[in-house]
Amino acid sequence: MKDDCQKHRDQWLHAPAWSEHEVVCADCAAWTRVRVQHVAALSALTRPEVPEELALRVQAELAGDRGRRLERALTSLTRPGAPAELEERVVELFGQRASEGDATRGEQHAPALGALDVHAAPPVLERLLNEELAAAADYRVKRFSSSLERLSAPDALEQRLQLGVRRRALARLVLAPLATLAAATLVVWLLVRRGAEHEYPFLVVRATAADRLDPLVRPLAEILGGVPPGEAR
Amino acid sequence: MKRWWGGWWLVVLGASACERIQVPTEDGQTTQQPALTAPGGGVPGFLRANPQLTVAHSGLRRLEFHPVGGPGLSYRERVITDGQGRFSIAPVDGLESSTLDWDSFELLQRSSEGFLFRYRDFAVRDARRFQQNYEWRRLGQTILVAGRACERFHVDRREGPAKSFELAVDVQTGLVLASVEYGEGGAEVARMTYEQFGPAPSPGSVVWHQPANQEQVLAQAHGLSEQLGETVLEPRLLPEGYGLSEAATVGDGAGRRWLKLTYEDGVEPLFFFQELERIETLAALGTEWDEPAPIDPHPAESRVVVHHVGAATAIQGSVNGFRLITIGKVGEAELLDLIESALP
Repeated sequence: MKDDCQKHRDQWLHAPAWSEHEVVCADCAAWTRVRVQHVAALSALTRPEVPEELALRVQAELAGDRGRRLERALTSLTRPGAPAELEERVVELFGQRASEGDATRGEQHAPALGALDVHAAPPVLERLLNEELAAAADYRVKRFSSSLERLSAPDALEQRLQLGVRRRALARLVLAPLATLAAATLVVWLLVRRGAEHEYPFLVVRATAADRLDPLVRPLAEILGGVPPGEAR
Repeated sequence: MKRWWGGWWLVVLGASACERIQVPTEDGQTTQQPALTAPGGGVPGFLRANPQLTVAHSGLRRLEFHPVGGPGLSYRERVITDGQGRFSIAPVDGLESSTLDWDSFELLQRSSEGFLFRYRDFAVRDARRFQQNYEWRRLGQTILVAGRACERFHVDRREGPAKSFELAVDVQTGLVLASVEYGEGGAEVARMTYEQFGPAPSPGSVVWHQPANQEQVLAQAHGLSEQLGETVLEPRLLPEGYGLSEAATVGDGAGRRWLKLTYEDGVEPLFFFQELERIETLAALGTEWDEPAPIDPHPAESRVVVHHVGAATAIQGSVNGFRLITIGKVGEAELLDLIESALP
């Protein structure tokens, strides 16, 4: 390490302040940025409190009181859970299908629900509903394609596949280019349609190198996302 | 879907061998205690009210994360909880495959203890929603993890993007002592394994987590505008299967106060933050260099920025004059719909 670098870092550690050295030395500029992050993180930490009972327990132990050991053993015991039968009953109830009892309860609940204030549906719900009603199949393909039921090929297709090689080759020569063209058209149409449909009442942009997540949620994002510190800008 | 746990699981035992198991005591001896739930029958322990919050223990855990398109992360941490709300999580060391700036990482972990303990690991946070959104099955094996007899389970999300878990659940306590999370296409997303497990040490020897974000849980999760005395946005269109879990206010250490709405689908949390009135000026705090980056340089403009952070999506910005952030392990479209549904 150069003397200038060492001097800059010593000065910064003594009294954090920007210096011109950071302009000419990328290493020291990076070093300073990391230190600033450390200081910010340290400043956010609260000072741990010594457990209230620690002083009393130290005094008791020093005085030869061995009764605390029984207390320690008791506090380390496993907390018992609810009886298994109760949990089984709860699971049965969750999985239970509609029954006469449910119908009766439904009738009892209906007047109570009717007395509640009616809240207007949010505009986004209305928009999504309109989109789905206007083109239900397209909407489902676009947003929930992973949950669509996979259909098996019809028997007629298998019979056709058993036709002569010549006929299939001819069909491939004709159908393959057509299918490719249709697929490309579909992709373009979906892309154009997607752009037109996602009109939120606010501008949506993707994060760039200049965008930084707020410090409030950056650690949370990194923890939920399972990425190392600093990965979430 | 990866099925090869063979090298990871330590020992596979016969399912019938676990009627009684060894429980370590504080002095290192072992005692015989009856199992709460016999393997192969009854309600699995992880379906009980989050054993992580109620079972006092200490453990050394190995954690591995494999985000798509980014560097992985693997390390060990020590966890201690008294089963009554107090806990401590401290990183121990990085693993060889991980390229960590350990100092920064340790600071992040220590300043995020609360998040880590409450939200990171697999846990059934709401049994009813879990039953609605996930299906589970026993794999018919009992194995040893950190010397504890555990039953293996497979968990699948019913709807939405593919997501599944494989779990090893302590037969006696219901704690999840090992888990693997799989995402789209069966790709492994995360893995957690207890390497050591024991009773919680004496309270006097533990420095428990001290909340630093001034979190105040609100008494009611609805009618927030009336409770807080200012206009509060409440999303009305949530990702499929999610429901409101908690409403609270938090501080960010820079003089700002935020409304924090926590949603979950039984397992995964999702957060919605709205900045409330500024309680102190940054200048008054004397923090020139740790001033948080402004969310939006043009606050008058309704604009949000989408960040993809590993398995999570975060969206932040200003909409109609409200500063908002939402974050969760769901798709971008779902989070944008959520924001739109919150607007008055």
